Amino acid sequence: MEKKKVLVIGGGAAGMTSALEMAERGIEVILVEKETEIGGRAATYCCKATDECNRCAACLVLQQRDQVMQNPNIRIYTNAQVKEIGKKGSGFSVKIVYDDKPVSLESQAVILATGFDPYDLSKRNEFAYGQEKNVVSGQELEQAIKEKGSIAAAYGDDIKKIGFIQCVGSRDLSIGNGYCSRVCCMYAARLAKVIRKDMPDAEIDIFYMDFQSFGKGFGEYKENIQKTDHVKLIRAIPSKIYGFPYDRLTVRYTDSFSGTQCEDKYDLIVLSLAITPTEGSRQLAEQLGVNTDSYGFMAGEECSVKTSQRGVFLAGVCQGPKDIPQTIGHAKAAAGEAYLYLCG
Amino acid sequence: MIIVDNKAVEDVLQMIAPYKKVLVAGCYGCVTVCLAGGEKEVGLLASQIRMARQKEGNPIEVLEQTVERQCDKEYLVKFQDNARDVEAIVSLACGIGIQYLAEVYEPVPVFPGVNTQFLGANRDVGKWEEFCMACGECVLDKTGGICPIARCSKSLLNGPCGGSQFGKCEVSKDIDCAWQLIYDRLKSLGQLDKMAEYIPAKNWHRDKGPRKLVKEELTLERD
Amino acid sequence: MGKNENIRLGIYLCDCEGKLVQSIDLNKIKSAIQSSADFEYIRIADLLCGKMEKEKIAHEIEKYSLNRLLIAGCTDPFIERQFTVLAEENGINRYEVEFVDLIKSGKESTKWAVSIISEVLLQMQERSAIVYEDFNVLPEVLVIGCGKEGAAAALAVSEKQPVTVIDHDSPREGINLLNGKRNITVKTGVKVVGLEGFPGQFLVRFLDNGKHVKQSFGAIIVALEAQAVFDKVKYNGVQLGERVLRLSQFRQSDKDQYAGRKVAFVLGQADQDSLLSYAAALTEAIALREKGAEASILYDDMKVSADQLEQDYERARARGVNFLKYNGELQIVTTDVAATVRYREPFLPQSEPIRLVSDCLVLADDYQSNAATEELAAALEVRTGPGGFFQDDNVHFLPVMSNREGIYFVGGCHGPIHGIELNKEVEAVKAEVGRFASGKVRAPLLQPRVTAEQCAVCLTCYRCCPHHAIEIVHDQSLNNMYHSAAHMNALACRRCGTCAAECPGKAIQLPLFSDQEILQQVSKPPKLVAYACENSGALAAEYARSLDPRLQENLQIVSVPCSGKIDALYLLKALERGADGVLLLVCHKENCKYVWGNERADKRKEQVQRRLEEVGLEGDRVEIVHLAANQGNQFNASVRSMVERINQLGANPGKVIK
Repeated sequence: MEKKKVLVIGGGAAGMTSALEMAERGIEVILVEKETEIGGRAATYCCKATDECNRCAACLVLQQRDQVMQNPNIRIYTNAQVKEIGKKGSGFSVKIVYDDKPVSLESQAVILATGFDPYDLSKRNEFAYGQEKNVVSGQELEQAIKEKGSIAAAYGDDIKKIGFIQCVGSRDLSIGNGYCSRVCCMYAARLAKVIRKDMPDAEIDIFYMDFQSFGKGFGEYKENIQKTDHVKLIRAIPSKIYGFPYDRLTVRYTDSFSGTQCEDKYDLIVLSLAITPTEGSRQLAEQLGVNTDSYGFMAGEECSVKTSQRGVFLAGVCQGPKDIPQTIGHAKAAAGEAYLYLCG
Repeated sequence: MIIVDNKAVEDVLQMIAPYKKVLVAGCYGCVTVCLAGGEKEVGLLASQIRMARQKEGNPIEVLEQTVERQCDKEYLVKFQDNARDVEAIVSLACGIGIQYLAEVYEPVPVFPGVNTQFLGANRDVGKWEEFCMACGECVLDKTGGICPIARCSKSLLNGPCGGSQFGKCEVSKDIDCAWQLIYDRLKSLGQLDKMAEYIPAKNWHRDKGPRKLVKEELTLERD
Repeated sequence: MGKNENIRLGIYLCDCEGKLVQSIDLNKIKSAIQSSADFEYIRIADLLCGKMEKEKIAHEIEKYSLNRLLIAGCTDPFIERQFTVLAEENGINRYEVEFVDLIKSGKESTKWAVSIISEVLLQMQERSAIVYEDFNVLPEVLVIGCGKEGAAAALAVSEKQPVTVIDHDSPREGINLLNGKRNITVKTGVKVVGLEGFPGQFLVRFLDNGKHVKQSFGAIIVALEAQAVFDKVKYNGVQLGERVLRLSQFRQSDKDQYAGRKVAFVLGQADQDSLLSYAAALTEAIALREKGAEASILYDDMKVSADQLEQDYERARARGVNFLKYNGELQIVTTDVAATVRYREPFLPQSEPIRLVSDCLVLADDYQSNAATEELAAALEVRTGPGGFFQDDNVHFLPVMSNREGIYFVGGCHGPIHGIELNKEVEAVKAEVGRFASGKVRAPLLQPRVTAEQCAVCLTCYRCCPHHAIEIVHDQSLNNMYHSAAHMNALACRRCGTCAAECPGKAIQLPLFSDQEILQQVSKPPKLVAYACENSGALAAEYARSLDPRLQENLQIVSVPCSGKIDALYLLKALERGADGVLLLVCHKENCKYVWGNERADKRKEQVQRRLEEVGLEGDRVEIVHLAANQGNQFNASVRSMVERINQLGANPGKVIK
């Protein structure tokens, strides 16, 4: 009997989890990743442990990557783009461009794990993102800390005041993003803790709308970062950031505790960019006949991992914002359903 | 089970100071179970000895071997090749094994690598408690299955001393008062009347010398 | 089913156009390998990266049906990429292509080349030699708890597997949902009192309405619900009554009675860990508006970080629910006719507190672990975490895993959970138990092996196993005085190797990580040896190498599957055999994939430090570093500081050079 095959599109946390789960159950996996390495965005995140683990789960992704690379049941195509995908008989046929060459593949099931793109700020310049080098996204900060080891090593010792701005592109009906990206409050809080450990004297402010902390023991996070880590929480979303002609970044906002217009100087601004559906996922959804929700995330049918197209399953953030453990749980569920579909 | 604890390595080093080649002898019996004299401890002690002597500029060769039980001569025979090859032996068995090993391999000197502590039970990994003192006249029927000789600091046979407080022994607040335990147990067994039963004092005098047990019906000797 | 016969290895030795040093003789290497290794094809090439070679290799892969390649010669990432692509184009998994660099070591010789090639060959073989076995398992699933959450899990799982749902009491909600459903048996008045066996074949002991009974299951789902409790201290000691209700009570009430009346919800004083009260208040407020009531929600942070919640929030606003933000403390005053909350509006800090008068005030509850948790956790031998809820507070176990294979958590038993999140957990748990659906589970035979002759049946492994994967088996064939030995169950074991490290008789060996395999790597150690957990230290080392390749030249990294596998003997042996220092690279606190391996490593470090000091050596020659896979910089910093430390200490005076 020929082995059953599943195609997993996306080699991030979700795709790798699904791939491993399927491979462990004896299904042959084709894993297609557009970047040169598997791992996805989460593989670029930094560890947010202080003296103990702060439960960001970024390390899980690297452990998975190691396992995926060693698993003989997983065939990996990196630098590979899906060009065309569709039903063929009871299965699927897909054309990919792999290292600039077309390759045709077939499988009996498809797991979509295309992840997300951070909200594209290029159309909006009020936060000076892309113009000021010290206005960075949360992901860029994570990556810099991971690569350089600490915030001081990444941005210099003279960083004295750091501001996090939450909900940039999230919960914003004016741009049609009427949803919460769910992970940003907790990662900002965890990053604040990491920064506090490196820089005991720096001022750390978080601009927020509603602090989204939940999960075991995370309810106290808001209080904890204020009391223990001396992080200032400012309930306001700044209206504008000025760089030039000032020597430091100037943030203008309305302080909700005084009701007054304020301006404050910062050395580093970190924007918590919304989690948005990827451009490619829209095309994939169209080609496969998978429904999307009003924000463009792929929509589950019956449950959050099955879709309107039989044999196509959703794993991870392509279905909606999730943190890493939620992504892993979701991707396992997707693999479980795909397995039942193939062998049940 | 016999519970032993490792001797200070400096004492062991002193014992074997004159020698250039020794055997560290382990036992798969009680001392393995109480994590002090199995193959792993043999390896650790051997490694320590080698490094200590190397540091002193007086290197030593250390052989390692572990047998099933050092308290049976049939197993002790397994040491013969190594034992004849060394100047001294450090045994990690209990006091019984050490003595028996010394007897079998005379004139090779045998040294203790452990201090034999007591007869006890293993509550959890790394935790042992004394349960029995091998008195030879068991009274557990009268004391709800809790031995007052081993578990009362004063080995009292007829109720607690005046120092028992809040169920703890006056010797240390970490020690349960055995008589409190006995009382509680008898109560739960509905046998509190046994508290009133007098247990005669034991004759601790070893008038018969070291104990021996011979069961004629089992020995291979002929009448 | 052995996989060994499936290995078809091709070995290519490249002369790199004569770039290899004279002291390496490829022909000698070839004959040395030919006599010792198992392979399909071997060839010496002048220049493998030359133009003509590509087709030739492709042809050879096809002709000899090769599925693994070993390429020895000069190598760099560019060349490696070329060959992995070539391999993949010809149907070979890129990770089955290994490269051996014969050029850049500075110690080139034929003998050396043979040894490093052999080492890689051995690794390739080991990886391929993993034997899988199909185990018979029961598809039956036990769900403990018949509330809404247990019912949801049972319904999902019952699609493919027979489910028995038990509950000590008889909650109506779940029973009504499950009545007459296919594949589902519901039993009430039943509680679990004991568990034996292993995943796929659990034997569960029940107290069934006063009678002791037992039944076997493949997997177990714990679905006890969290319990809503009301803590009036959080509301200034307010008395509950007609005007003041708990949210959990209010949800049960008939909404018709509120038509034309004012209801206010207070969020943010209780229930900090979950989204339950937020979701519930939104739903209730919308329902009230539909009944013609006036609804207000007082909140500090509107928590909406779950699917649908932001939309519910939006809908509630559209339906005219008043959302009132407050800051700081609340004051609640009730009379017979009204309930009043006094609060401060954050945008108007200087003003007097605002009074919100309503007919009925609804206060959020807290959620605490089910009262039956402790007893059930003890019966199942699974761990609990913060707040007395099931599950360790450790990301490795999220969302639904326990410390035991085959036992899973869903819903409020491991923390209060909001409905949509619950659905996702149900999906995840369905996937987990779905493994058992076919009656067979395939697993690699990689669990530790026990040599009965050396097993004292001391129970140390049994007690140290975080996964309860060990049983003591009795069999006349077991060659020790007890005719018994520890045995690791292949489906329950997660292969951390903690048992092997703790065994006082050295009776336990973990495949691929036996004492011999590990100690071989430190037979002639460099100055510094690092025993590194595969989940953290070893991955960080890989990343660190890309940041500072030279730092690892005098460092031997020895990978272990978990830091719980680091035997005290490994540390002493490395020093005895010549290392000046030893590092333990382990996961951060509360981040061990195998529950407590890193804590065991902490103890091993202390134990060995003490042992060193006992014999006059510096305890500082051993150090432990807690780090994560993505902390390459921290890895390098730790290595640098350790190198500095051992340079200060000088050469290890205890090293025994043979």
